[in-house]
Amino acid sequence: MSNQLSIQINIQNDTASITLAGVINEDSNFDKIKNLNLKKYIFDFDKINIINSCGIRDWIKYISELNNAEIIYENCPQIIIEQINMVHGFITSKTEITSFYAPYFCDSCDKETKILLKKAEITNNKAPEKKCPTCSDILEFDALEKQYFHFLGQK
Amino acid sequence: MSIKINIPLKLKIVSLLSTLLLGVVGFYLYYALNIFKEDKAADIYALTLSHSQSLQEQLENIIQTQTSLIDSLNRLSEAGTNLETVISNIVEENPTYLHLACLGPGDSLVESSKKDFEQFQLKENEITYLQNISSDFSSVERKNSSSPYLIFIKKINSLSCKVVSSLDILNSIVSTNEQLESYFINKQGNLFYNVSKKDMKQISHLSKSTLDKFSKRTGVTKLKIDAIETIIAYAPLKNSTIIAITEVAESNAFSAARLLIKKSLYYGIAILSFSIIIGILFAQKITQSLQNLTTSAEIIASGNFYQETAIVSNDEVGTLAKTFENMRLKIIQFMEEMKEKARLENEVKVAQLVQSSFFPEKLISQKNLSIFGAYEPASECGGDWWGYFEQKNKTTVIICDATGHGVPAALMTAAAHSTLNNIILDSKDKYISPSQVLSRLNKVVTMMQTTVQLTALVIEIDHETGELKYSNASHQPAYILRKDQTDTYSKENVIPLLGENYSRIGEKPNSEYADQTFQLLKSDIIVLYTDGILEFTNGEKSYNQRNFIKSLINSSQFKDVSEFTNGVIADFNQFRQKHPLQDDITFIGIYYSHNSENHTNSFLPGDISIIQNLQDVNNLSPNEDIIVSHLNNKQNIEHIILNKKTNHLIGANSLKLELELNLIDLYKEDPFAPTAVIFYQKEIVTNLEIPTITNEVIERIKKSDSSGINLPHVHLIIEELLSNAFYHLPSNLNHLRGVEIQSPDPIIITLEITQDYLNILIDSPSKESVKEQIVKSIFRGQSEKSPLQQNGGAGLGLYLIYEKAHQMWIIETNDRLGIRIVLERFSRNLHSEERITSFHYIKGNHNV
Ligand SMILES: [Zn+2]
Repeated sequence: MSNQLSIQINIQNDTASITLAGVINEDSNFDKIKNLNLKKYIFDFDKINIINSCGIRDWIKYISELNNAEIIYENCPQIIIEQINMVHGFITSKTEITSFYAPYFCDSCDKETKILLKKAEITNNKAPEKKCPTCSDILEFDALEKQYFHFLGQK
Repeated sequence: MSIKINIPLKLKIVSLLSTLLLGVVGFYLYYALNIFKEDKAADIYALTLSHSQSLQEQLENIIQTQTSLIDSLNRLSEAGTNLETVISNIVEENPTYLHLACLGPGDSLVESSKKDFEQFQLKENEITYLQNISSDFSSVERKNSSSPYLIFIKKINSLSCKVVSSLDILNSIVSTNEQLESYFINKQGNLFYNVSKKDMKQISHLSKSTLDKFSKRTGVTKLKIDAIETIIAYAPLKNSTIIAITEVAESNAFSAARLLIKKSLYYGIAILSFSIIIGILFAQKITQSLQNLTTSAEIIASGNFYQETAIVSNDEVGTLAKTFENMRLKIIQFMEEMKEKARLENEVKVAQLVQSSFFPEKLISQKNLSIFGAYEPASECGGDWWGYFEQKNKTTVIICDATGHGVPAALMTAAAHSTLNNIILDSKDKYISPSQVLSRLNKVVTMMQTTVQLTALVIEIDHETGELKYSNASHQPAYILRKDQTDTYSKENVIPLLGENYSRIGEKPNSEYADQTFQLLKSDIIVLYTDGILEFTNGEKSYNQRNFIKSLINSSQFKDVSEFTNGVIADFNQFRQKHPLQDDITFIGIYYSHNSENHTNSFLPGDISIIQNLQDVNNLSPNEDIIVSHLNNKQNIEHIILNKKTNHLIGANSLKLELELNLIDLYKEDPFAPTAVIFYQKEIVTNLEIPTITNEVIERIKKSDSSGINLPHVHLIIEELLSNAFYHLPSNLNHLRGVEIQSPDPIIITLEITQDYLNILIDSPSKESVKEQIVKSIFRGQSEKSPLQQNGGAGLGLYLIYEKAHQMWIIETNDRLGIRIVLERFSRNLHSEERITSFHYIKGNHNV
């Protein structure tokens, strides 16, 4: 597990596709993606392990400096979603989480799986029905729906 | 019922007939008239041609007559006859001759005129003209004056004669066809004689070249004259420039054809009208039969099946009517059969009613015991049965399931019922145990000598002691649902009564049965059922044990056994949807010692208060040291802020409540002492080591048993706790993050891991009492959910930790602060999330 935040950036036209990996904490340095003056930022959180309280504060500060740019979060892991739900400011009127992981549980296999969901799949805080990749049984959503999908209502 | 007819059959037939006739007649007319027209055209050409030839011949005959006269005069003159008398006689006798002059040899002139026509006496120049013409010369000429006349000049041998005659000489020429325009014209375009009309003004329509062509030979042609297609026949006279012409306008020529077309059209229309009338009459006949049939159908639809269908025609409609009539008779027959079936069904219903009397009332209530049964047969009479009887403070419940269903199985339930009645009588004198019930039932059934067998389970519950006795004849095992320490039922706590299984009832006469026992606890739920519920399939899946147990747990939330049973049946019916039952279904729920007013967890010591809702908080005595709370984390923290005396607030859904209470006692004695085997321990002197230590811990947990532990949460908790510990060191004056902080006294991280939980302790130097500070920090995080906007910590760490932890212990001694986080193992993330975080505060002495 990496202790550092690694940032990969790919700019095309006015859009930056930024892949984040590792840990977002007080030691994380966002200089590489500051002052780019672009219209759109797409952040891929797939490889992020942890974001701690100082990491959250710094991140909120960082995105507030992007001014009016459009911000998209992709592939948010469960821990990120939990943190987003617990701390305001992660989501603004200019940000959108388009895809994220959610815990599901298969009763037959007695196993938890994380399923990548699209924002559009959730209506009225209802988790979409998913099938177990192993046994194809219908999975049970393994979190409090109202709590887990809280961020979708935040702005 | 009336259905609107959009296109009546009548209309369809009539339009079919009309279209057909119109097509045929139309084609005929077109074809026949075309042939006729062609034929007629040929006729017209021939007719005009022969007509013009006839005219030519007639005029030539007249000329020939004149030639013959002059020939005879010549012969007379050659014979020496004086022509004077002959000529004057000829002029006198022939009314058309106006003047006749002959110039003989030696220029002897003889001439004679009719009275008043002396102007024709030869002039000098005319005499010279006759003298100079050659022998055999002839000419015919018409002179136009106030009264037109003809001049004929001819020389034979040495005799030259000039005959002037009135036009009347041509009167003998007649046209045989009034419709044809006939006239003579000379090559120069001057009219010679019009046969049809005496005056004819416009002859000049024939061009010079046309006349030139006409003068050469006989023929017929079509010309456009004054925009009218005209057929013209022409015949030139021999030795003359005169041409006989017959012409007719094409339109006139074909007037006959047009007449024929007109007449044919009238006939056509007449035939068509006639056919339509016939068609209507014919269609009326067909639709009438259909109408009759419709009326019959409507009568049947109204419920009268006894009106015979009239069969009037021998065609397809008639056949249809016959089929319809057969159907009517079949319906009557079928109705009779249905009546009979209904009668039989009614009898079965009566049997069902009788059978239902074999069952006890649904709800049975005794002291400490309430029973609620549900039963639904797959066919009208089922093979499931259940009953009960009482003996002093014991209740015995019997459930059985006959192989198959229908009447033989139902008879078996009757046998079971009467056996029970016997047992009830006998039990007044002596105690009858579950195994004895099975033995007696087995005797009765084997005596009946039937192939039907029963599985049966008998349980007996002692209301006072909670002792359960049971004996099982190959039936589905009973389930006991038992509450865990958190006062809830779970699928892990479903106990099947899997004792010895004996042979089926009716298998052999000498089967032996024995009793087994089980101790019931307060709040236990006992479940009896037949296999119909487990083996039911809704076409796709069977309602297996997993669904069944899930449904039991779901329904166990209900206070009353009736709600419990109905809940289980409702779940089943939801799965079943509209599918028919494949086997009978019997389900019996039994609540043992459920006291609805008292929610107290049976494992809690009596002096602990429980907060169910915010109302309870108000009624709480302010001195409660330990409380169990059903409130949420935020409400609990508020409560701790307000009630400074509360040191232990335990989440009501703690997995191991007993264990948690036990920890309170242990930590009160020695707050930093391990309560399990130490899994990991390290002293840390600088905050730069935090990431390494965190990763080390995570890797270590991964290598042992991490099941049910949320590793990202562990990671976060350790990182936040250690950062916080360094940041709040009494020696730390640096309030910037990202800077190295060293601790003179080491900060110690200790992890204990058991099969129930992971216990993380961060033990750091401290000087002041921080309980209130910590609680308020958590409270701020919960309320504001946003980081502090100053340098240093985000001020969110403790809040994030508290929400993720299952137990948070704050341990204070005079110089150390310990924060313990306990993460219980949860197989389901959902349950982990639902766990209300326990808060513990211990003030003690560090015993090192
Ligand atoms: Zn599965």
